Amino acid sequence: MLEIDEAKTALNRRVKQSLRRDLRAKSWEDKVASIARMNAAARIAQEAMRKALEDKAKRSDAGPV
Amino acid sequence: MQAALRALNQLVTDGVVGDYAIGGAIGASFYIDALQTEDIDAFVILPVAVSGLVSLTPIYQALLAQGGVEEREYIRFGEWPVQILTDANNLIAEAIREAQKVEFEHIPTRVFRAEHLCAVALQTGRPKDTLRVTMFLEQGRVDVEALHMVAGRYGLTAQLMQALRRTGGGDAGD
Repeated sequence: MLEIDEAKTALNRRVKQSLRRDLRAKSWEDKVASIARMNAAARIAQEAMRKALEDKAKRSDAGPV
Repeated sequence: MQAALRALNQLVTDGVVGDYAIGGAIGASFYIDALQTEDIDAFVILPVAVSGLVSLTPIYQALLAQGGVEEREYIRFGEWPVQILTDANNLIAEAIREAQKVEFEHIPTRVFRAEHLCAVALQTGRPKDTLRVTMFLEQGRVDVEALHMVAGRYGLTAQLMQALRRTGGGDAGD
């Protein structure tokens, strides 16, 4: 059965609400800068993924017969 | 993004477009939390061509002349690809006409009003558009009465009621 600690749940809710308030207080410029950072991070992740797949393919080509 | 906005403003000054406004995720981010997107959606009012042909060529040429770089269906300014979209229906035309004047890093620009961003998203109806409308409603960043009026004018009331039910704000009773 699911046991819920009401005090801790309320604390979690307050933490989430606090973050949400901060995010909403951001200016448009700040939010656009966040989007640019998300895009930069996505490009880095895509590049890392591409390289990992390439390395995996190379290892598989060079593997024992 | 400043270079892109300066170039778009220049299009209006030079009469290449009647006017423009920012929509899509960048426009929505003026009101709600930042949304992941790759590009700037610039909706333009095209001047009426003598030939009657609709073409983006003069816009692309003008943007390239201002330092933009052509890249597939975008013109890139710095890290921001700009996608030029036309006033393809009367909802978008109204959204451009009634866009609000704002500033980005002291550069004047125009952004769709919240009710128009939601109405366009309701009309488009992809999962990411549905999420966007939900965010506007949940964050209380759209005047629901104004949205009802826009939705009513463009046959989007059913989609709006569905969105309101999802966020618990509907009054349809089912």
